[in-house]
Amino acid sequence: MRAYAIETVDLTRTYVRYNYRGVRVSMDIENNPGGLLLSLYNRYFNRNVVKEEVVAVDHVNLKIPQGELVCLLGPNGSGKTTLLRILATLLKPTSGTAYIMGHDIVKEEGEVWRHVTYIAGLLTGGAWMDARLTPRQILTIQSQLYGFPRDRIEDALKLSGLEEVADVRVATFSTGMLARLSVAIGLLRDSPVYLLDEPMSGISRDVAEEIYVHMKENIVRKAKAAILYATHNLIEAERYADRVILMHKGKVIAQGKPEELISSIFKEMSIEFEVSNCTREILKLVEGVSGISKFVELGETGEDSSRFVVYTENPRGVLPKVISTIVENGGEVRYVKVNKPTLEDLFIRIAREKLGDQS
Amino acid sequence: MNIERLKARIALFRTNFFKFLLFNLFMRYYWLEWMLPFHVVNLVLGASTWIFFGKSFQEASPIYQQYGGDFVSFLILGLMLNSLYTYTLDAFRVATLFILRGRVGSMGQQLSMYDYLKLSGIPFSAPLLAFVVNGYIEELISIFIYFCVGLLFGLRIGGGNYPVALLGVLVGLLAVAGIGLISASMITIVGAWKGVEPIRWLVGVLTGLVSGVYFPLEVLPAQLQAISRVLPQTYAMRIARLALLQGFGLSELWADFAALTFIASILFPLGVALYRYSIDLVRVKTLVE
Repeated sequence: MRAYAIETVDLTRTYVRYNYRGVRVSMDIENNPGGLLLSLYNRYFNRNVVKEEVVAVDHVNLKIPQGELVCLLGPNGSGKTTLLRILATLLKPTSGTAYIMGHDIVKEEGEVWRHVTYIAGLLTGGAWMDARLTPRQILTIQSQLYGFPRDRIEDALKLSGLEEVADVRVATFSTGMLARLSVAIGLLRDSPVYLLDEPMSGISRDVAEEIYVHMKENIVRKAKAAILYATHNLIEAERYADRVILMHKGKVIAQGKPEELISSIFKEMSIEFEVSNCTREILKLVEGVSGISKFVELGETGEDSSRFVVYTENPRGVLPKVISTIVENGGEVRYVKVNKPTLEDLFIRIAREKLGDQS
Repeated sequence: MNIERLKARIALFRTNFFKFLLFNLFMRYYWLEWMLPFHVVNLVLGASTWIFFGKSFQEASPIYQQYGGDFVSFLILGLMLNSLYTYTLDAFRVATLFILRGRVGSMGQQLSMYDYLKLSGIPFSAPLLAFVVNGYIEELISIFIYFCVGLLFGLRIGGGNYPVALLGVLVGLLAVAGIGLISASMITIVGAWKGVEPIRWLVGVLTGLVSGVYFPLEVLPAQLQAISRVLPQTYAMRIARLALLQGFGLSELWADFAALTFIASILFPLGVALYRYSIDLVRVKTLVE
């Protein structure tokens, strides 16, 4: 028995596409059997048509235990959705495999769906939502379909903030309310693995936060489920994820706890100061404070006031020293800002340094 | 697979099959409401045209004697069976396209009905067969209309051998369903999901000319008669006509039955195997290249 809720082993997925003089062409057969002949000609005899293999997911190895919320981060086209669709058995990997609760997604796909809830934003509910029905009716249909107890419907309505409109027709709902219902449908299943593909798109921040807290407290901590959560929102990821996985062009370029990842890449932090009555001598003294690796003057901001930045690996130790140096020599500190690197900074740094991506 | 598991799967299939069947019937009730009157006019006028056309030279032709000498009965039976088999040719492909192409999309995410079925654990065969059966229900209406037109023009099938005719029609259905399944499997195997599928096209154009829907095969040149022997519709129509119009039994029709059964025993398993492979291919290839 495998120990992880989700485990991928060299998971790879490629697509084939064809280009005619640089323009993408379809090999589908259209209109009549002549299309078949054209397709065969283009595929095998037309020298101007070039076959191209696109790697959407490139040898991905992940291990996600139960009781962990992991955020999958990356720009559009980085392979997040493809990875989630493979794990949900909606796509087959080209090579490698993955295990959901110990079940091979290729060999035991019939078992995998029982352990997985896949929520793709507004879409999950979209197809099942009949505008003429109310949220309570839709959830009742879902309870019959998936076979979960009806008493959970009330909890789902409450959690998704739909309690007050439980008996109102869905036709009158805003995008945000539809998104909440979509999330409610997904969360009802009570499975050990959740694959979420940007489920909060279209949901207002306050409701999204409630759902995050619910996921973290009830689904991850109490029910010990594993959540793999694809998102563009790096702030959410930094706040709620136990671990983040950064993907770029199909590859996993970094993974770990957000703060550990950031500190492993960004050794230094910058501290920005605005001071007044600060002579050149005082600035010289500040520059000489131990622990500062770099001192950059930003110029004068007004009469008697100037700005500078210090870079240090030890902001907690350096900050009081700099302040006391300024104050003891007659200067005055007006403004201090410690610039903490974010996941976004981390992603950009890694993409540029490791992959040479300047975009 | 243990017995309990099999029972659970059958129960799951049964439940979902009837749900999809009812859903589809409900969704398509408009067909009865709005389209049926025009459909009736189409079929009545179409059948009448052929009947009047045939009547103009019927007396002069001894070819119809082997089918009881009645052109109207010959033609109406041909039209009824052709309608049934033409639907069978298309049924699986149309139902499969409905399941695979129906998409919901937003912000780069796309889910098809196939995806939803997988995520819900509903067997693919449940909606597929529900859609196919639903089409047969509609097809029965067309066949009934042809029957009524036939009665209007003097259809005579009172003294026929019904069990043999029915058996012939069913074996023919199995064989044509095999071609239909092969045609449906081309959706993913060769990417034929936008226009006319080549196998369906070929069988379709040949059926009208050489399978004997509108006239007996005996009027065709030998080369075309040879092609007609490849099509299961040819044998099925011949069996049904001779059994119903001449009262022939298995002893007279054994050669046609043998050929039809042979074709069905090849086409149907081949169709099922290819279809299963093609559905598995959905997760390997995507419909949008």
